[in-house]
Amino acid sequence: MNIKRGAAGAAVIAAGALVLSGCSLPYESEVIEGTEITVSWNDIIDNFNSSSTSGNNIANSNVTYLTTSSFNYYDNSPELVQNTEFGSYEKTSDDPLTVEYTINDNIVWSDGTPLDEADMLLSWAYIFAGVTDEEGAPLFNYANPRADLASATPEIDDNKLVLVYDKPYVDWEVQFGIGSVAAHAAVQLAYPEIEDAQEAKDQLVEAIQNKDSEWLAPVAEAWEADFQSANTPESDLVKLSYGPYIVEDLVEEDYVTLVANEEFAWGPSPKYERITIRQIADPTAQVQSLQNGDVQVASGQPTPDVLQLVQETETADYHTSDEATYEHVDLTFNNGGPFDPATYGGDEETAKAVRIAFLKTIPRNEILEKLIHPLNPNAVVRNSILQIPGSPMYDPIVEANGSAEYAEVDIEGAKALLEEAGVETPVEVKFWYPEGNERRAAEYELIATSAALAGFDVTDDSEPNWEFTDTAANPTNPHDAVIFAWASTSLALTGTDQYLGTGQPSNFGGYSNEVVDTRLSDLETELDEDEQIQIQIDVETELWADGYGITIFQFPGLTAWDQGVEGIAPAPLAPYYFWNFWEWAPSDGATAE
Amino acid sequence: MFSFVARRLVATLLVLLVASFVVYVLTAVSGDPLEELRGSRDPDAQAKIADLANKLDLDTPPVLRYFAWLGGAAGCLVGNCDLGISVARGELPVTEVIATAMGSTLQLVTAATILAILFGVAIGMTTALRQYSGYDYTVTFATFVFYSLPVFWVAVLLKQYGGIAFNQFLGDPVIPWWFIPIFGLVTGFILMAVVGGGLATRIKTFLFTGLAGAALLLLLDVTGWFAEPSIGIVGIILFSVANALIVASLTTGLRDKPALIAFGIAAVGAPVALWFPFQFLFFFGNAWWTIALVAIILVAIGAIVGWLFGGDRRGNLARVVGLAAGLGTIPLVFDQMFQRWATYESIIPLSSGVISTIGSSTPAIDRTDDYWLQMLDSLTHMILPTATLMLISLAAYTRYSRASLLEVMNQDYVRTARAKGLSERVVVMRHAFRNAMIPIATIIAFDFGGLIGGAVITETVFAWKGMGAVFSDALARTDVNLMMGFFLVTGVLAVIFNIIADLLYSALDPRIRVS
Repeated sequence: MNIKRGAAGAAVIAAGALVLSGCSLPYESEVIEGTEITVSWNDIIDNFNSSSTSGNNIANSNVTYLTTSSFNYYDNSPELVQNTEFGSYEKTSDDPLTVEYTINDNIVWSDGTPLDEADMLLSWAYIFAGVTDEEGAPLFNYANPRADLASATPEIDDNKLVLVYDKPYVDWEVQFGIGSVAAHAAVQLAYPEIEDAQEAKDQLVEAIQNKDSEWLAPVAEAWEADFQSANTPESDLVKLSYGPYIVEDLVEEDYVTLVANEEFAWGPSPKYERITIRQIADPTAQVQSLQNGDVQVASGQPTPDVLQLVQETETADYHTSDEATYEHVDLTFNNGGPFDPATYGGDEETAKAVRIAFLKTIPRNEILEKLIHPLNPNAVVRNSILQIPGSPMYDPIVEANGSAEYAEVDIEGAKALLEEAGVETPVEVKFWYPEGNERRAAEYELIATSAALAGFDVTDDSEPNWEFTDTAANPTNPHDAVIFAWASTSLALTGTDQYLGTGQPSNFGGYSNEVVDTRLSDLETELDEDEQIQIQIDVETELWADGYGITIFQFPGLTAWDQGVEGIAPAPLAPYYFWNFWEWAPSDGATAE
Repeated sequence: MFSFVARRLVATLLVLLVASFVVYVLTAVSGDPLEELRGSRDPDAQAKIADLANKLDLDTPPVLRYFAWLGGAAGCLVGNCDLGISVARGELPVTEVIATAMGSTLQLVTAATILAILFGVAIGMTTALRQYSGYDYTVTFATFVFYSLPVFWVAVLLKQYGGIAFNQFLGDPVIPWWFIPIFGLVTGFILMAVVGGGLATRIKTFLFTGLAGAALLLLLDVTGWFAEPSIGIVGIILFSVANALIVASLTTGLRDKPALIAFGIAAVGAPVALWFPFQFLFFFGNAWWTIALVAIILVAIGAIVGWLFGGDRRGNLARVVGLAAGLGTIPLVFDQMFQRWATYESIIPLSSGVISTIGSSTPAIDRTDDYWLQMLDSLTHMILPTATLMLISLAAYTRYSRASLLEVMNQDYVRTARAKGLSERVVVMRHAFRNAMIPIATIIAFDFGGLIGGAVITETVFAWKGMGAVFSDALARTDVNLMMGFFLVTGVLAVIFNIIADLLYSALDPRIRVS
């Protein structure tokens, strides 16, 4: 161990000397030979295509994040950062929205095949459902195909692709990217007789341009099925990489080891020669293995016990922070309950007054203080329905969205509202939380106690199966108020209509507001940033004034790491603490040992 | 006998069919496999829900879906298994998931079960022979304490003290001076209680074993053994002598001169003399077959020597000396592993010590192609989970074998054997032991059948993903296909071992016939 660290130190110094001497090499690998870091995550990769329906999950994308490069990525603010050493994109026209993507020269897959326009064209074919089968269904089983956005086959040139959108689209910056599957790999797996990578790409480009779905069908099949692999894949084509690392060894449900990709020369160089991700689901086991030195990084949603264990670990540093998942209470507008206008003979105003009165009694600060602050002392009450605290748009939206009305518990105000509306008290509110979830049970108790002061009788309507989310079985939500969390994985502005829009599949409360509907569809095609903020303010103003529901807190996250490692900086959005893996390095303290 | 087995098989097949239907339907109606997705705000969640509902055929009622599943499962009989895909495990085929999980579980539980049986039976039988002694009471008390401890608690504590704290000790192995006399007192007390006898014998045993224990620890400490442990030729001599003495005293007794000479030559002389040549075999062979080869060579030597010295009981002596010589493989193998201690410490990520608290292997060791390093790595990973499982299941075996031997010892034929003037060793080992094993054989057969069911909690705590994890994941995500895969394997094994238990019974007890 000591010898290894000594060597690591020497290599760091050597690398540093190169930098200091002003050596003007175009790219200098900073990988320190013989170094290895072991980190833990609750799940590991089982599919090398993180874009297909079956492969699209966090465990897979964490690994493909290490094996791919991208035009941009999220940092820990969270903000979107461009990576110009890999390639660049430029919006060349607003009408029609046209984006030109260019990959820098000399970027290659780990087998030496250049990464070029063929790979971008394949990405277009699945992301925008560019090729369909006879019945019109997308040929590639992409997780979220958008046939409505950019249906025209893009023009390509050397390392270049010009994407022309059918309509303006707000999230164009994160809509397109090159996935983890090489174009020639998908073709060669489907047609093993094609041995030359360039020929495979040429045939693919031709087939996509001619919409030759018959020739492409086996490719699409291979693109989805052949990349599913829970152990080290037999074919090297499956694990091709164009990122800083390449998968070396994968053992199902146990660990995956990645080794530095020798071809990699575009983007910040990683320091560790190897990264091993171990699968440890149990949080206590994660922390104990951190104490023992089996792993160097542990992370997850903390319980008070786990946090205490981490605090007692002298050899580790830790960081508590927000996660992207947020807790909220939603009210039901159409189930004949206290928040439904139909209960008051269709009197919209009365129902709204009852809703607002109830939301005013929700003790958000108390919940935060009692349940979240012990886990994350920096947590704040979330005041925006659309944006995560810390994102660039959060502050301007919160200033203007009317959430200030709910800043403090206002029992007197709630009483006055109920009296004014002429509603008989106590008002019964059937409150749902997932049975068995202790934190939410505690939240329910706090809410019920506070609401009782204003004349609400909040009854426990919990059940463990989230039955109200099955809209086929329960067209209307039987509960009057529900508490749960939405998880988000990006800062994309689209997608909120899924739960706010009239009749949308995740709109469980039957909320309907024309202004919200139209403004959200405006947002989808709005490219001006100030205007985007304005639209979100408009939407949120409606939501808060309608008493749609209330946001409470971001889930606390905990990341702890061994003091022998530096550069760990947890981030709220996927890929979480992996986002700056190239900055991870053995710390000086460990080198001096 | 064939008709008996055939009848049992048909009956159990019907039971399996009905049980699989019940399990299928109950699991299917217990929840929603897509629940996690329904709480997702991702724009692609809806597409994924539709896709999975289609793949899993969720629109068909469970009762009908069962028959579709049965069709796929029936394919297993002709080697064409289709158990569907698993939602809980990244939509991989269930057959693949189960195969991996079975491997991992067998690795985890086999050693623990075998050790628990060996130690359990040994402790149980010795307590029966020293009934109502201090030893008996102490063991009874201890086994009940372990039996009633929750697994997760034992596991976490073992990790804290057997893993983390012990590793810190290994990083700077200084034994405090007061620990050595205490260690001697405890060792002396335990062995005194086991050996028993009159007051004078007890005092002698106490003094002798206590001093020996303390001296050994002092020696190890002074020579810095804990910093760089090794076995070497000294360790092999010590182990071989102890091994030969134990086997001899249990089988032939220590007064049988020719037998003692045979033990001396084969069980002590052979491993020690062959230690040096075996170094080359182990180094250049570097695979599991070298162990098998060494074991075969040693057993053969033992058998031949036993045969030569056996006189008119050569068959019997060949067997026991062969066994004792074969056991000499153990220190040789450990010696190989310990020779790589320093290399091992330099490769693994731990900053001090070697005991690992998670998983089954160190990735960096898997990449080396040194079989002995990998074996040492398995050892450091297996030791804590094995100890956890063993501590808990030891108790049952101890109690069963104690009760069983006590009952047999009170039988008339044992009294007759004693009356014939047979020594106590012959009475216990030849006459009582075999009969006492009959009821235990049934329990052992069942335990091996249940072994594959996995150890849910131990697996979770030590981050193993075996059958226990398959079971709990399947339940948590309402993953019917995975659940049925689990059920199929455990159900079939339970049936098979049930039949084996019946057959074993008739083999051990001639009074029982299967027909």
